[in-house]
Amino acid sequence: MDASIVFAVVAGIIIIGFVGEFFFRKTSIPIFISLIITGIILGPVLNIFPRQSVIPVLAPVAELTLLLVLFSSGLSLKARVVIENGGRALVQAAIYIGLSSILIGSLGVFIMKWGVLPSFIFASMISGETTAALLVPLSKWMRISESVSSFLKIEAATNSILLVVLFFAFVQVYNSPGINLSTAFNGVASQFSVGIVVGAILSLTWVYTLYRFQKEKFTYILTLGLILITYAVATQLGGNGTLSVLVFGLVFGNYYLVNKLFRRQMNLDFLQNELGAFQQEISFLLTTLLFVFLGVAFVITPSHVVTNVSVALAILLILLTCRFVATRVSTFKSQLSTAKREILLMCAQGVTPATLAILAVSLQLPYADTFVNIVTYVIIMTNVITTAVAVASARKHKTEL
Amino acid sequence: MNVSVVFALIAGIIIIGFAGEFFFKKTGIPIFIFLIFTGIVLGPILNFFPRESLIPELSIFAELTLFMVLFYGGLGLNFSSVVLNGGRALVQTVIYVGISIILIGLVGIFVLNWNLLSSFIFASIIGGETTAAVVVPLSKSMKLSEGTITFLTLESAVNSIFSIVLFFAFVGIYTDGKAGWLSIVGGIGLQFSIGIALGAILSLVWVFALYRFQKQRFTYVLTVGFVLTTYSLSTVLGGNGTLAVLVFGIILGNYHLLKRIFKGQTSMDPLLKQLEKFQGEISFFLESLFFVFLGLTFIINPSLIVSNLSIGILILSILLATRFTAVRVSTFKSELNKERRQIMLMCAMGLTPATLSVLAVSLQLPLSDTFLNIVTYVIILTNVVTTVGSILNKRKQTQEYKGIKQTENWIAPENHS
Repeated sequence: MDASIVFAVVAGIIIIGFVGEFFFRKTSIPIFISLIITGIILGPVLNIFPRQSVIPVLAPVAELTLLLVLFSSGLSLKARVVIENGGRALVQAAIYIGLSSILIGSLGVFIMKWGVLPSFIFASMISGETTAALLVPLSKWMRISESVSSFLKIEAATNSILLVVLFFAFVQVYNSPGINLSTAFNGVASQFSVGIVVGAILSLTWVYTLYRFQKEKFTYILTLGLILITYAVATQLGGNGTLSVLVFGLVFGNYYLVNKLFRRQMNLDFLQNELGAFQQEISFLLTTLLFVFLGVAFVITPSHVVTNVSVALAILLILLTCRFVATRVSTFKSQLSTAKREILLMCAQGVTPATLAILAVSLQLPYADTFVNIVTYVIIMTNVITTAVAVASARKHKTEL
Repeated sequence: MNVSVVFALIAGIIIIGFAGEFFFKKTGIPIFIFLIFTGIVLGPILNFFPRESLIPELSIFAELTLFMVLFYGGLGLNFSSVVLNGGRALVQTVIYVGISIILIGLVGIFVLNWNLLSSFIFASIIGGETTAAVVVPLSKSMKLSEGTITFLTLESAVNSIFSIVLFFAFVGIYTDGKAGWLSIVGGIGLQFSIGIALGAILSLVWVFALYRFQKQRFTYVLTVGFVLTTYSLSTVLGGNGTLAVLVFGIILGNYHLLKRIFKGQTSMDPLLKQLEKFQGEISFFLESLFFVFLGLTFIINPSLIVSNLSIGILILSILLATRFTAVRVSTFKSELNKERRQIMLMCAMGLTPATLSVLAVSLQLPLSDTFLNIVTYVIILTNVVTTVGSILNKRKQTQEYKGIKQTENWIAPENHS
């Protein structure tokens, strides 16, 4: 394809993304839906980007997006804040993901007849994610209290991490055929432990490196290089690279603990702020492209539309039920219970399920095409629910005023 | 290829590039030459990346790198310096490209015994290009004067236009047997006029849009989107996209001049400072990858090393002699004259000759495989010359610094006594 056409399409996607973001701030209608539809038009409808030619590009883009999302989540999870305010959010994430994974997995096994592992791989993509990219600005728009907003933020950062860990655990078991369950789980455990140990060792080195070079030019690109090398080294040593990048983010975000541990006086606040601004721009670009890719990877099979939409509706029902239970438990006897309804309906999914569904396609997992379609429907449906709540809440607020 | 291997390679290139910045500060040796050799090792020598499978993606990546680097260069250029040195850069380009194509063409005919058309097709591939990917960052890092940076940036943006138009004109004569001077001059004129006009119009639109949206998030990515639009629109309408992006960058970087025209209260200095910083990071990343990719495109044929190297050295001599003349003329009675040597040695070639020679192969032109081999050597040799220029500049600066220090030390005790 001609370079100028490729650049024109990318420019168009960026402009749609920006307009969508602008529109989102005015109306609270999320950007994701318009991007997915753009992808469906560019891919399956007009065939400007044939699915087969895009698939090789999908894996690196999805992996990179995931790494940056997890790195950001790690950076934003400050141990002090989590310990002080995050207990209930962690309970919420654990119950919501745990329950919904079991129920969606069972749906796959008993109703869709996908088999145990594919069902739970699918469940780990779609269970219990909430997307910070949407919830943080929406909670401001809805004038939700600071404590609820902080609860939602910590929940969003935690659930992405849990889902990614679950997803890779199931994929690892799937990729080790013919071995018994305990050996498979040993394999998963060793992959995770290598990932964590390598991530921790490299992070300490990288934090010191960044401290040493923080006043130099090109520190963002250097950090990106360090993220990629952490992933590559951990993977080559047989560990989980994604997890080690998360550890890097956590250590970097909580560098003051490293100071205490090694009796140092490092200050990386300025660098963290600088990186944050750039990271936002790059994450915006990557997630914008990712949702368009999700649309491009969407397979239009008219005979399957009704089935897939029905499955998506069943999943939505499961998610709402589990979220209802999780919210009840996590807000029990707390100020948060006054905003129970808002917390319940702030269930919009986004980056993590989209990335994992795309990864499933590039990893050539069974039923991956069906997963992409159902995930797309679920993302759209959960976004519609959250938008409706946001609009209703804003109207109520205006009427009260 | 496995994703983790790809990420490891990219990470390695970033770290080499970052380390190279320090190395450059200490020694004056720019890192790009090592990155090109990394590419040669990964490509032609170890065959990690088979060349043929990379070529389609490379052209897109090369275009992206060149215009992103020029956009970054444009953001930092002073408008009055552009007006002052723009004409001289054009004179430099016309002389350097024109004379070197004639001389290399004659070498093809009389020394290498190629026919007339093949000789001039080859000459248009290799005559008078300088690559923005080296020139823009290196001239900034070498701390050359503002005028020289502007001159070199403009030259690197403009000379590819001449090379490409002339190449297609000669290929047109070869395939159809016709192509007049009128079409060559018209082609160049069209590329310039559409590129400059569109770059100017879109940047004016963007300055006002950016002013309107400056408090929004993601303004950097949106600006990149607009740069891509400028490139695409200009190319589709028959203009030169790279030139359009350079003009876009220059006007955006000098937006304060628009205050006088539009009597507005536009003040976007902090935003533009941040944009420039982000663009600097992205340009650095793209450049680092670009040089490795450049190395990947090379073809090294062991049995022809001596003959190709000899021809490469002959062509390099012609290029340097022509560049010497062009620099003498274009910097005549100007401040640029002080940095004539640096300008002359800043002759590193990049992906335009590499792309045109690959294109010659795909068009199945006669002798195209030989062109490809020789072009490889000329690109390497011109980059070596630029590296030497950078080292000499560093030495000169160090000596000047030592001289100043000695004078200070000499004056200080006297004053004291």
